[in-house]
Amino acid sequence: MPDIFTLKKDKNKTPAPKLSSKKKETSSTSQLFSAYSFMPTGVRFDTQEVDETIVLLLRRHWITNLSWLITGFILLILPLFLFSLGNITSIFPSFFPPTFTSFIILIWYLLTFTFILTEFLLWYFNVSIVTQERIIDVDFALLYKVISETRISRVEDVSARTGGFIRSFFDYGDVFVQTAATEENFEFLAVPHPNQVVKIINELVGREEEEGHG
Amino acid sequence: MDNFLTGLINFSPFLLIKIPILVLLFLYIIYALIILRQTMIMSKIVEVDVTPTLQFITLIHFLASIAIFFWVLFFL
Repeated sequence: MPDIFTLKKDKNKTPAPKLSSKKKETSSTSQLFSAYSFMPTGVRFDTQEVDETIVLLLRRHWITNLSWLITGFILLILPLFLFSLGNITSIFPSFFPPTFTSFIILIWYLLTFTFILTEFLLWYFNVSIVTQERIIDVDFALLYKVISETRISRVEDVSARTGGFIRSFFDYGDVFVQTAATEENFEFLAVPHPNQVVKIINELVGREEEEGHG
Repeated sequence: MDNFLTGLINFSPFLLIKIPILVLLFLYIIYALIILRQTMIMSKIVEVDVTPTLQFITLIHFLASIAIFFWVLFFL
């Protein structure tokens, strides 16, 4: 768990120094299915500044994907199960061409693949990013996307909420970041290690305040 | 109109099914294009090493939807 941030903001726009932390940095190869990446390497976002380092990259906990993974698996094996029961082609009227069964199977698997792909993309691109300077929340859907961001210095309060057996067991929950009254608040829903996330953001806020006074 | 439909059913009853299928497949191509486009946009917003792979998968998906449309059009 990250302890103390020894980072000093470099005002000369040189590359950002590392944060001291006991937690290992997340390598780029393990980021495909990672819902919690601390100091990830090989990750960038389009408005990232030269001296800005990503501290946290968050997605919904993988367990929240279980429902669509199970549904996708059932959809994949269902035709095999139906075909094992008997001759499916006999249920179609005689004027249907012989290739119609192939078409039904093809469409079935195409829609199943689309379902899995869409759910994966929705999970993958709904990210929350915490850098030394900012908090960025990307809400992505197929027909719209909302990208919100705020400066760490404008964060007023950070809290975590974890409730229920599943959430406690898998250690995931919601993190709420409250900013100045005129700005919108941030919600990181179902992210892993919510208390750790709160601690990291609080330390970043504390460091920012020290720099503000100093 | 009734005479036209009756004639069509007598000529090829399957055409009454094939035409709606083609319309739905055309809408599906648009959907696949939206997925491809959004993936490309999002890949620029959040750049991770694996995003080219995701772009490739969505491109293959889009091309597959076009291929199935033409397969239905000419071979079904």
